[in-house]
Amino acid sequence: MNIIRDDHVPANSGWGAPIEKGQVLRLTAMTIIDFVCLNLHDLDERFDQARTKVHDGKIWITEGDRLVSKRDNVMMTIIRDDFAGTGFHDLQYGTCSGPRFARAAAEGRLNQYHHGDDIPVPDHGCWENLQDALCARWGVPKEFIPSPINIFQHVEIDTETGAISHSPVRPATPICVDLRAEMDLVVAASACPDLAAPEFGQPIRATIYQP
Amino acid sequence: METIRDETAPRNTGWSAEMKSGQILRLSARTIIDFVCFDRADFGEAFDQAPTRAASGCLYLREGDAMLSRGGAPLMTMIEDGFAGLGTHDTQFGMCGRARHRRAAAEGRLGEYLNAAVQVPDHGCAENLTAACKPWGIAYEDIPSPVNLFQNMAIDQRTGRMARTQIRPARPVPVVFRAERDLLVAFSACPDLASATGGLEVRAEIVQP
Ligand SMILES: [Zn+2]
Ligand SMILES: [Zn+2]
Repeated sequence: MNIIRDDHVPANSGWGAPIEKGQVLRLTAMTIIDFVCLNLHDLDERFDQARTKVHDGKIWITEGDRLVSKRDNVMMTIIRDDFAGTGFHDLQYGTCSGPRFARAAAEGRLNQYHHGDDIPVPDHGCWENLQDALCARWGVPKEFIPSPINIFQHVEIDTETGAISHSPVRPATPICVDLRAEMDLVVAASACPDLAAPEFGQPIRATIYQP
Repeated sequence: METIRDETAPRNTGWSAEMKSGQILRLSARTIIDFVCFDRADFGEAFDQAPTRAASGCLYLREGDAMLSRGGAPLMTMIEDGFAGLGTHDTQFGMCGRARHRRAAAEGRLGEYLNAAVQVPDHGCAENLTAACKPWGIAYEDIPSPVNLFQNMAIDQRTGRMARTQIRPARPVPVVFRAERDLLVAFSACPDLASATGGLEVRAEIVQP
């Protein structure tokens, strides 16, 4: 196992890197990571939540499942999922953001994060962090950053009523998810401020290796 | 109340129109409609399934729910749902289309579409919406994954597995949206391989209240 890079990503910040087909991205954390990927050679081809769910045939994905682009091409495969058995990664929510936190505070909905109403409200979140990771360096317009897969974001879902809500279920200690690149990609991750986590958002680690 | 447009899109074709803030869009059908909208002043502010679900707290789009843009702005509100009580509108799936059908065939998964009697068409909602948005200079990649009206899905609580169903309106019923800003709206009359009919026409009316 040859380590290409091994980066520490501080809480509530963004990270991005190129990765070659066949290399593996290991994301290690105990709070939410908002994750997206784009075709390195054609940034118009981007991860798509809906196409991924169509392809994998389910609303939760885990080891063996694929991340699929809007063009129906397989971008990455999950080859290891240490969260399996504890919770599911989310494909329902989008990115958190400064304006979304402000709106939740103004509307008195901060208690949806399970810490009561009196919590510090971040001035930015994953939406801004993914922009930091992708816009200047790679020239991706911010509207074209796709809604992500939210790794380690276990969401309560009632498939009968359709109700979805935040849950505090997270890994007890940092654990990893390994994603193999099935094409050359730009990958980007945000260490979510994760207001629903027991201790709020924590730093994450992003490692790229050649298996 | 003044009718601005009243048109019928044939099976497996696309349709698009501009709307002013406050105007009403009524879509009437008995098979799936893949529906999207864009801020007329900024096509980058397109409908997005994820912020829409985050705001509504629901897997399905219901009467009273807003359709939000990628940036979180309300674009439309569903003000009447003729499908309520019969089935739910899907916000999980993407568009059907040539690439999806080809991959499903290659993987031996065409059986997931429930109506084996329907011949797989050479195009679908992806191609229909691409054609409908082309006059506005919007490329396929920039057309968001839609809300799939009348696409009732069965989702397994334990596994999260999604299955198509044949639950559709018995005759055309309306779903009505109010524009919350000036918009471009577009839809595809889905070839709906899961339905008993294999897709039917869609009536689209825009009304100034
Ligand atoms: Zn976040
Ligand atoms: Zn379709």
